Amino acid sequence: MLEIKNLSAGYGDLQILWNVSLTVGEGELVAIVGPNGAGKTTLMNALSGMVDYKGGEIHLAGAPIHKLSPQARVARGLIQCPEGRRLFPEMTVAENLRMGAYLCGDGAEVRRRHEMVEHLFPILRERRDQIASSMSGGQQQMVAIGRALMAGPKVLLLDEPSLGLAPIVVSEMFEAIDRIRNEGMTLMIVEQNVQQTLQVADRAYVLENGAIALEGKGIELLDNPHMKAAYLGTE
Amino acid sequence: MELDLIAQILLLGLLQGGVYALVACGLTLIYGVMKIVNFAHAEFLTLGMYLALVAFEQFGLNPYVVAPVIFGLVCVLGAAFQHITIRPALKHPQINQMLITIGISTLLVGLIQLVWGPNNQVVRLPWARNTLDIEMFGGEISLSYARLIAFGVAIAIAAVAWWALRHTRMGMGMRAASQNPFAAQLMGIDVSRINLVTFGVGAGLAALAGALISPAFFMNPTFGKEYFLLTAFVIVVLGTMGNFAGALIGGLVIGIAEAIGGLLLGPAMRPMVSLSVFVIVLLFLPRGIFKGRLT
Ligand SMILES: Nc1ncnc2c1ncn2[C@@H]1O[C@H](COP(=O)(O)OP(=O)(O)O)[C@@H](O)[C@H]1O
Ligand SMILES: [Mg+2]
Repeated sequence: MLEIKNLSAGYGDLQILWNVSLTVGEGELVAIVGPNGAGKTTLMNALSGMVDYKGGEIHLAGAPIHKLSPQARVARGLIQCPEGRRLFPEMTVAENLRMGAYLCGDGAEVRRRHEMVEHLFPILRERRDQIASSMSGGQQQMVAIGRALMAGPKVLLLDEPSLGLAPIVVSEMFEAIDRIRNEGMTLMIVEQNVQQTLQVADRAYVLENGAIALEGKGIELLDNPHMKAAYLGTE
Repeated sequence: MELDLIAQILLLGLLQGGVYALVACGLTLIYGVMKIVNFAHAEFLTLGMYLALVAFEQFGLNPYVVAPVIFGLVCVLGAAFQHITIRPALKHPQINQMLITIGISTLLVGLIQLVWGPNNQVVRLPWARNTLDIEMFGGEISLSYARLIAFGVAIAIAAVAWWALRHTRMGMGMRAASQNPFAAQLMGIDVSRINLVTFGVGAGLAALAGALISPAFFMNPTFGKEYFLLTAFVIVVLGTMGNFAGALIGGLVIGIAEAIGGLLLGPAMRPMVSLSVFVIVLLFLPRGIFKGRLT
């Protein structure tokens, strides 16, 4: 579904990603883990067309998209839920969700998606008219994920959905992600929460210094000695 | 002082405030979405006045009839200025963009002077100078049709623009771009197109206000700068930079405040009122009386 070949990207003259190659199959949940500053967010933004492209290819459902504008990539179904949520702070929950479907001209389809998101996160139905910035961190994260789902993703990119959330809320978030996956969504997720992420991921890539250092099945990586030493603290 | 005279002055202030509100709405829109302080804003108002003058003198068209055309023309002109001069500087420090708008302002004043000359001119629409007389407080209050129409239309347009911000796709896109341009792009919103439309509409609203007041004020190339620029900035800061409803309410407040100031201190001191409000707001309420962006 999503195929990345030798992708390089960065900010101006500063190159961050070096020949990153990875694939996400249809219906798969693929995790990207790695230390702070490894370039995980830069990778997400390179996929969305939000940082400077420096080479390589990105194919979505077989078609090249690395030359497309950010809007065109959204239109093709590559949707990112960014790190730190980035909601529209002074819009209501319903308005934030509505903005996710900005490119969808079909009112009935927008309502269907809205219904689906409120079914996934019932709290968003109750809080429909609440101003987004007045919600708790966990609720805001639900709005952010809901907003991304409103765009009708073929591939959903989630950048650190559990960042800054209380442990109990983190578990809820992982449950929600599991439900989205069970609906058949193709997901690529970046997480600091390595243990919990590798348990739910089909496959995972370890990104270090802007390059892929390791890849494997989620549960296999949990047993990998390098992973244990560097990320899991279980050695 | 007589009550009827006081009422007259306050009402005139309110009417003036409606026009201020429309001018300030355009300015706050541009700031809210693009974070650009547009020093050329008043020149678009002046240009609107002169376009109304041309339409009247060359084609015999009433300013109120051509106002929509003037709005459209200046929208396109503003968008073109944005595209050619400001867009390339959007990634650079804000001071660059400010200097560019000052450049546009100087250019427009020069061009207006070149085309229409430096002298005072007015759209001679005699009926608009007639007054509506109302019995009140044992006296008579007279309000010219020109000012009544300018007020009514300005408020109506500002209200429509406010509605459009919340209920149209483009308006929602502007609010999104204003509140988080990065996320807006991740939602598929073409922020550079939003910027183009925003600057165009902002300039167009100023020109529309200019057309509306053209039968009531003598125009000259620096009219906008002298009579509206500072006041519009005061209103936008008072109503919180980038807050559309704030600019609407702020316009009315400043219109009335100036009238009261003129009443207490004498007409010559009117401009002092805006300046004093400006200083007080900047000192004690630096973020204005409202919070937030295009809410
Ligand atoms: N806007 C930016 N301009 C320049 N450098 C940046 C920018 N954003 C991130 N970086 C740098 O890119 C590197 C990778 O950052 P990031 O992708 O955010 O890492 P991660 O998400 O893995 O923590 C870091 O060294 C960071 O300092
Ligand atoms: Mg990150």
